[in-house]
Amino acid sequence: MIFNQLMIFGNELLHMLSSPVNILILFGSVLMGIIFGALPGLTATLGVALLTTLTYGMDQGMALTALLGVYVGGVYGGSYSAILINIPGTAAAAATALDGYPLALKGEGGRALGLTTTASAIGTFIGMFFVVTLSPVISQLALNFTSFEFFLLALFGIIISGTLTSQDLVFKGWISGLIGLFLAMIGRDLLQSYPRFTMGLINLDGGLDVVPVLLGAFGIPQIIQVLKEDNESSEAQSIGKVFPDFRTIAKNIPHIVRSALIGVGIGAVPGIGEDIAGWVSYGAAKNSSKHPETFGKGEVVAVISTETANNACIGGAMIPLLSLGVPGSPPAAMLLGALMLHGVQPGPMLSIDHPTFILQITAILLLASAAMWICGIYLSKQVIKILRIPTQVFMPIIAVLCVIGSYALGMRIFNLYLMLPIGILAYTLTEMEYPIAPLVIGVILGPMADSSLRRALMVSEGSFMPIFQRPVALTLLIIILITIFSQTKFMKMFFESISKLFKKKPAA
Amino acid sequence: MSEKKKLRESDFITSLVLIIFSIWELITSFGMPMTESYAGVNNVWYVAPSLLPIFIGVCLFGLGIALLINSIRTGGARSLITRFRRDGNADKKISEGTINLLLILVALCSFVYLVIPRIDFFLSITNFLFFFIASFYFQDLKFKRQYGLAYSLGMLIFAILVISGAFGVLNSLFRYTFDVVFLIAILVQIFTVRKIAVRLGIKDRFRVSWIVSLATPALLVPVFRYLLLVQLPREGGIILLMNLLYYAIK
Repeated sequence: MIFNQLMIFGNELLHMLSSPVNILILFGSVLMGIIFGALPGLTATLGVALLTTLTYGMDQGMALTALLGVYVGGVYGGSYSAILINIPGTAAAAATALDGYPLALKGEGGRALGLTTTASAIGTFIGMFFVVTLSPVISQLALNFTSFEFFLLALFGIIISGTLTSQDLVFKGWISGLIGLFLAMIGRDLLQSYPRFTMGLINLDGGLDVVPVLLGAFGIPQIIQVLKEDNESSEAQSIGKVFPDFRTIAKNIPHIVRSALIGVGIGAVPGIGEDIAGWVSYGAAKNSSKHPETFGKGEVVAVISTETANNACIGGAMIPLLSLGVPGSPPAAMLLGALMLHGVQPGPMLSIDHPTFILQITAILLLASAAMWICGIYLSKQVIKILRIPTQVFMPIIAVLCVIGSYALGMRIFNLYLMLPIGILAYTLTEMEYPIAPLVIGVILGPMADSSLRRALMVSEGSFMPIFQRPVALTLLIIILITIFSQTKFMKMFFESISKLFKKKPAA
Repeated sequence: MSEKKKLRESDFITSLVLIIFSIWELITSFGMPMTESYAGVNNVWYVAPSLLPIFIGVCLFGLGIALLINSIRTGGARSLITRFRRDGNADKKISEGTINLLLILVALCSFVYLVIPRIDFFLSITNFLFFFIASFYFQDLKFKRQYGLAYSLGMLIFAILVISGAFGVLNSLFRYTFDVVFLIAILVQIFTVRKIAVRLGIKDRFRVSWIVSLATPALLVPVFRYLLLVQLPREGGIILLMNLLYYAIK
């Protein structure tokens, strides 16, 4: 069985490597992803969203190569601007800036980039390993899921995403998720075709298209935020030679393994994503360090840990995406939309409908991590020149790309009319510290939540008892309730008083 | 005023918006068939299309109330009302951030709602990019304000022509009337802004602005039109010329 899988994996790799067009697309998309990640204001999610439109007409394999290439490159690319100008290109690289920039100031920018490149490649590789081992197992388990489990899974994704990504009040995250759920309700419902919240507009009968919503939610707020501040671009530090410091990498293998596990674990939780993985890994590295006071002053362990984690998170995010159809991060949410456009429905049936799909994804991730390493080590100086492009020049171009990206997929001008108000709503919510990831998760998982709930109740004839009779459903319900009630003041005070009981009293 | 205080003030407003929205949502949801028959099918509550919308509405209402209570408890509501009473009649200076925001919204909204559906796509992009890039890249507040006002006025006039029906009438006389008008407007913008750029000593930034404004659609339009075979929103005079050239070469 394992031998069979290895043979198929090897075949997929050979098939990809044997096509020069595939190699070109792989390197091109990884480079595009690195540029997107490096430029502050652009994100891997936006890169995947824009490429979804461009790859729509492509063969499925090529399209997947391009999308995963830009995803992997985009998450890694954030380290460039984090190290060189102390402005993380993506939120995932925010923790990298803390120690990466001081390294650049010491004249070790090339070494820092070499370390982040190698650490990111290793992180992607480890994440890929977990995708291929865990996804089929979870898919098998999920084949026993009924509609109640899927409804609770969707709800869990929204609640946990809202809880963990909210920087202000936790219920702002839940509000964001519920707004996303509401947006998913617009249009004719899947079971009875009743028009909901369409306000008589025929164009809304089909609901909101995912790509314009995501472009609006991720692209427009960035454009507004970056240009509203209208700062001159910072001067990047010079880097000298970028070299892979394998000796330092070898010395820090325990940190790499720990960070990769953190990245995969956090990626597997719906809707959270690479930025949280980076910070948690940074915190874990600092707490486990014998010299935590060196963190923030150019500590290489910090840089290695954050970059390994945020790239391992890619693999982690793919696990629930492929096995359950629940995206583990915002770029994975965009990938879900792209996969559905190509006729692939991620979820428990994936292994049955497309038996070699997971292995294909694994092969692409492996090649993407290799391509990312090559581009990072040998093309970094060219990519750094891109950082000199003023934001006032490339942000309007990004606006045009968002417009054409929203329009091109369905060739509907109405998508443009939708994209802008959603973008302005997302900007307003971001300004008031509402996280956008739960909104996106709500939009993506809303149809699944709606149809699953009604199908479940149809089968049980209106009874919720099956939730208490099925272990997975009951577990999900308990986790959801704990997540919600643990945020209330009463429960926080309760947990504080419990923890005080276990704290040692100081000696008199 | 601290950032936290401003946040709590905005929480007060958003909580009210959220409560009103959730009430509207619930009223609309209860108007959907719950037990009546729809399309020949007898409904029951647990299959009704309003099931999840009601759940969403109730949760949003509850969270809106929680947000309202929090903003009152943390002083956000009181602070907002006091500030409104104190500053309500005072002359307010518009900050640069607000000007930037207004410019961005004018540029984006006019581009999406007004220009793209009616003007050749190549010219739409060129016009949008040139205004957007020049306004911000020149890094001159006075120029930004003046250009923004002039652009907004131009778009307002265009909107009036569209709403009044004059746009349709003029375009029916000659199909590319407004494409020609926009082309002239773009050229006027370029020449006027060039003079200002020379005066400000930023000719290099002007050069970047007009080159990017022309190069971007020159690259994007052929890629989407001839490579990806996407029919563009409005294929006017410029794209017609590009088609003639493309098919002549092909």
